[in-house]
Amino acid sequence: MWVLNNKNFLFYECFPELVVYNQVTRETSLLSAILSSIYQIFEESHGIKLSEKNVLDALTSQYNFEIDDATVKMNLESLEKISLIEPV
Amino acid sequence: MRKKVSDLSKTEIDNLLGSKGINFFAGAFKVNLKSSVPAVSQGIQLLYANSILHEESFSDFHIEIKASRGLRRWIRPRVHFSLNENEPFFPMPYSQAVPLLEWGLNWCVTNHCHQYLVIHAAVVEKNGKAVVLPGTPGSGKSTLCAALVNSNGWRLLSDELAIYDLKNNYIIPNPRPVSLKNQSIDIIKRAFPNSKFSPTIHDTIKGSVAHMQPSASSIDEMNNYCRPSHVIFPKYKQNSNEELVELSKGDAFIQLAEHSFNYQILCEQGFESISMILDQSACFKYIYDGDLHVAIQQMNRLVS
Repeated sequence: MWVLNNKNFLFYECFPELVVYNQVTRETSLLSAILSSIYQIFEESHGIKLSEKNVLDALTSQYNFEIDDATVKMNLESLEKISLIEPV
Repeated sequence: MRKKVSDLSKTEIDNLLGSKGINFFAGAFKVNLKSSVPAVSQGIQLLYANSILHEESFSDFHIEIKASRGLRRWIRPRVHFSLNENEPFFPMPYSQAVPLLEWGLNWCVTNHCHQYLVIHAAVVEKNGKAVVLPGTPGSGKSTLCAALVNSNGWRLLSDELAIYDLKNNYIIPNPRPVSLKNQSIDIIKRAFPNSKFSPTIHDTIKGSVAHMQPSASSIDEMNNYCRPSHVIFPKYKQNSNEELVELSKGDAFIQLAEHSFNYQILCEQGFESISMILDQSACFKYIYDGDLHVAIQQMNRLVS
């Protein structure tokens, strides 16, 4: 399960992508369309922790991605790596 | 009417350089320059002829270009660059005094002017639209810039260093000599025979180098700031098809950050600066094969 951790971030919205700036590590990252959508799913969850399955369901139903479990896991790990979400 | 470098005689320039220094605007910055090296005097007379003199005691940078002393005066002579009496670089061959001045001035700006976002980019303006041309060495950025500013209606805002003022959201004009390298020198000389160049210096760390004088009109309009409208990443590719490809804002953001000298230093301000530039700019990648006529037409279409 993961939860959003975006309090130290700045964002530049450039749909479908998203540029994020981590004010703690001072790193800038470009989120692809899928990473950006996952971030959006977490933001809309209003602080509720989400599982891989929750994210997969939202990606397929709300965002029309054709995606498998492994890819969702890999993308969640990418967001965790830049500290935008954290495991709980 | 403000006095320009060209209003001074050669003797007056030599006397100032050899005594209290000559005070002039090098682009957006006030410089006090001292030197007893004849090539520097010639360089100032030619490249900064249109630059405005300032009579204030304050200068952004106090610079001296001086020749080595002792045996080095005779054996493989060298020139030294100093800022506020400190020498940030190793001395360079005597013949490279003018390139050393230009590279040293760039270093001064990129290392000291963190009130602005400084991007490694040429900037040209037409119809009130500033086109930012970021590029790595060899991308053809300066060649394209030189061709445009020699064409009708284009104004030079910068050749090497785009200066973005975050507080006021505009590009500050920084018109300084355009630095051209290797085959680009002859290409521009042939295409625009009226352009004025410093002598070509060979065997520098960047190959053969020459500088082109910025136009009087670019200097005269130095206080006419403008907002960026396009960010275009040029890429010179021999024998390629000319291609203008829209670039996503995300890609443009990352590339602009990489081309900025002080993005990391400015932290949140750097992020906000690039966000503001991109909010008002269309972004493209532009591949051209060296046909400057075609490239100028393409740029004209973009700002028409």
